[in-house]
Amino acid sequence: MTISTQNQNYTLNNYLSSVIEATPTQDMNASMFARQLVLPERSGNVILVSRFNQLPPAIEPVQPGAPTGNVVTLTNEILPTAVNLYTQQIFLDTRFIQQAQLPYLTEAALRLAVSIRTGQDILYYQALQSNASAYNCRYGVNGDSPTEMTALDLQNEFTALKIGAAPFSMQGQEGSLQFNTQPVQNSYFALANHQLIPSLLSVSGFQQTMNYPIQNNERGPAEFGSAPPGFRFWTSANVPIEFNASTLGNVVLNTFVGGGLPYCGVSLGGNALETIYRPPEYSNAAGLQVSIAAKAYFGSSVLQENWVFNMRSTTTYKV
Amino acid sequence: MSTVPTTANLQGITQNQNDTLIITTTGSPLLIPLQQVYTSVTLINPSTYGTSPPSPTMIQAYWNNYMSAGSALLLENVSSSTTVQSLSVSTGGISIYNTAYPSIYPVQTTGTTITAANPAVASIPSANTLFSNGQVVRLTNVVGAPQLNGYLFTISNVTGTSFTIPYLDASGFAAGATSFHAQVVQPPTIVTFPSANLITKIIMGTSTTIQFAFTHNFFVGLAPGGGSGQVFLTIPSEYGAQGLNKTQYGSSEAWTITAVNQALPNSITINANSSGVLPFAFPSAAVWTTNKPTPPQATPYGQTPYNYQNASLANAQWILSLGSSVCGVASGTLYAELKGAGSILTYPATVPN
Repeated sequence: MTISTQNQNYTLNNYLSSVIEATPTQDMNASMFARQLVLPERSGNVILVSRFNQLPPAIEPVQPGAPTGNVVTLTNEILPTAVNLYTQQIFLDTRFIQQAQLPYLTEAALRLAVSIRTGQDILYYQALQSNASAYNCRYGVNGDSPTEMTALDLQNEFTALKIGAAPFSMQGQEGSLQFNTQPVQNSYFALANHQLIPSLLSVSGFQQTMNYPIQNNERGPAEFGSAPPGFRFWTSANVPIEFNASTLGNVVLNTFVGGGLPYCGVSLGGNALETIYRPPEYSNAAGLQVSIAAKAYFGSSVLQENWVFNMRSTTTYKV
Repeated sequence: MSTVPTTANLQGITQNQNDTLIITTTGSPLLIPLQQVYTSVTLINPSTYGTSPPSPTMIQAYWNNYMSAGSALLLENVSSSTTVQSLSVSTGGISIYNTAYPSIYPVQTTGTTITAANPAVASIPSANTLFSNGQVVRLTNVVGAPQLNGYLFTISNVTGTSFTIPYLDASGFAAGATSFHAQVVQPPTIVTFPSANLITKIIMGTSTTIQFAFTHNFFVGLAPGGGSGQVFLTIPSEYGAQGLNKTQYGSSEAWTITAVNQALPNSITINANSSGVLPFAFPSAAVWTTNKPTPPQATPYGQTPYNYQNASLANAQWILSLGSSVCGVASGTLYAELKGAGSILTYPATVPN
């Protein structure tokens, strides 16, 4: 939805909104594995998502005299997702507006888009950091706790996700007769900080995306590679790190691993995004200040706690 | 720091505004994130009006920024009477402080000992100014009791040379710590409501009680906005209590919370008959050093009626601090009348502090 303070700027405002919605943003990976919630019009500040809890397996034979067998209650779990408003506003230099309005406003809209989307990406991770079950990597050799991430730690969390019945997020790729490629297994996702890259390159069996049989990454260019027994890694600067948090006082990296779409978030766009452009009032000496603002509504919740974990590790990265 | 379960959303309010904040109290000192600075605060405890509690209980408290931080003017009842008495406190009262330019790198304090007692008490260098009651600290570099590494603890009874870890019963430890590092945790480590928490004690029985390391915000049953109180437990084998990691068939299941803060302070009771489950205990120092297990934890299971960023401590520039004299009781309610900036004048004029 677009709001303008003056009707004659409706078209310009629409254009700026489309710029913000369409701006490609780098390394903003969290929404890829989120169930996207569409913010209804006049939705209030909570979106209710529901989930039916699983039933126990039917393993009890029906006894004579009890022809109805097992009776259980199907519970519909309501998961409210609080939605908050986030804004970013820019005041523009009127002199530039007069000289080259559209390029200047477009650049401003691009910057706003990056700001809003980065914020949304960070908010996803904050929700995951606070709610996802943590696992401290423990099989590394750096003497710290958590240790650096190793193949054994990945095996551990892969098993935990399988126990949690998490579906794979990414289908595998068959091998092809191309030199230096190897097949990619069905995989869970892993959203990591860039600082994990040195550790990943040391994980036994890790292969970068350039060694995939199919080169066009269906989930964006931020994918860095895959590691056995079945994780594909996307890296970003937005994934939180914790200073002084390891036993030896080193930086701890959070890496969110999961399957399916274990969390949800409000989709940026539609009712969840507004652009406000306040044009200059040339007839008013006090009204020459121009502003452009973006308003975004966002909220995120974990939907299936057994399908997403936070692997904490220390890094071998040194500045 | 735990997120304060306020029912008011302070997002978006503007400077110079007067606001009413409805506060759900925990019985412990509170840090409440604000979105603007206020110059005076009036606290009203509605449950005390017209009643005669056996011990003096706060009725009203007042503070403005001309008064010293942490002080308050109090009205409270006389014991077992509705008669009102007044007093002035210099500590444990109210303050609003600015978090502008918070340390981008957490400041670590080197401590000397943590006792193997219930509750554990930590000794820190004299002239401590970093810690205050109700804060959450992370322990690292713990020597002598490495099992405490990585834990986040709410602290209390902070003095210049020590603080208590009220939710840690370390009496079963072979030895206390002989040195450690402590740092105040900067959110957003724990900004959702409820958030995951670390387990320090489990009492087995026909129902199971779980005590947490830092002030929890789990709840029973349906809460405002929906959601039921359930938790999912992750307990490494080094800590025992393996039956509570429920994976008999299919995927793990969550336990329902039946009570909070009942059998133990800062605890939940769940509907798990753990009579036959091996007891919960911290691993020995040797086992921890060898295996480096993740601290046992409880994660909220489908219960997120409030979400993060509801004016979180992480982002707030201004924090309202309610000390022990004015923080109310567990699960109580306080009304805070917050008066906006710029409205306190003096005659003759002086420079505001």
